[in-house]
Amino acid sequence: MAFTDDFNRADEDLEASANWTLVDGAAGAARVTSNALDCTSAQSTGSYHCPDQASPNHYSQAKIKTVALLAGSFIGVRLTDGANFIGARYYLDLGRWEVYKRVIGSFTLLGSYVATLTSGDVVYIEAASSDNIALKVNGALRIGPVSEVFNNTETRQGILPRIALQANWIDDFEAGALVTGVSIPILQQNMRGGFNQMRGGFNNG
Amino acid sequence: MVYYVCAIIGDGSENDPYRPDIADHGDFSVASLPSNADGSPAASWVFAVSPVANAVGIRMLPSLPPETASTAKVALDAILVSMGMIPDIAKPEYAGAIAMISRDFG
Repeated sequence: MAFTDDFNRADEDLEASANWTLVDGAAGAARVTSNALDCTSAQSTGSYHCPDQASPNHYSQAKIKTVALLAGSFIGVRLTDGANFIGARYYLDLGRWEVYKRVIGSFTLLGSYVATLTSGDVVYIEAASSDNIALKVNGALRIGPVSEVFNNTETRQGILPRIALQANWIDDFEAGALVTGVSIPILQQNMRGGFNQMRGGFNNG
Repeated sequence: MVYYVCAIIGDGSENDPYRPDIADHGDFSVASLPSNADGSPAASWVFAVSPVANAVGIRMLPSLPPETASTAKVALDAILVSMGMIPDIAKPEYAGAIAMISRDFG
């Protein structure tokens, strides 16, 4: 069962929800404000886990609302902590979507795709069977699949608020396990189901 | 799309991440860029795909349509040998390149 959070609740630090665990970084690094999520951390390391999806083959997706210049915040898969994860972000300075892995604090850029961010764009990153990492924006494959074995036993995912403060950063987060052995093209079917869920609204936060 | 054998540049920092040199020319995806335990690149080259054609100084697979998986693999191997590398399917950067070629050239 996928985890979903639309952040429709009273203003609070993200870790005030029993579903979110602050892994590293300052308390309140992400904060629910006006039914969306703010990045309130300018630190280089910060991460939250959502409920463990219990499979290394999983996805995270979120609706990106606004992104600040110099922002370094990610949504993550195979996320151990703020120094060890695979993540996706929109980097406003270069006007592009990016997929990174961070290994013991070192960054490796695995792919990028230039596009103008439209508030409400849905970014989706998956770590699929055979260790294929892929990024989709509004359902279209934009980066990958990239063959990547780093952290391929890690079952957790979440978000990484970091580097630059940003109000109204994301909304409608979702994470889930992928069916074992399913290939990338078929997984797009699952993703469309996720979008439909998101459009329908939910609040498991 | 254009396929490249790229050098790996960067120092792993936020502002200068490890990346293929084609990354500074436009959109791209790597096939596989393995890391050492300390996060540094475990390979000296990386296979990548990009819409950018003829990026100066980056080794591009020859474009001889209709390219096939077989001819693309021969071209990749020739480039690697010319660079003093031994194509080795046990190495993730090469296995990733072959997987990308098999997928994209069918």
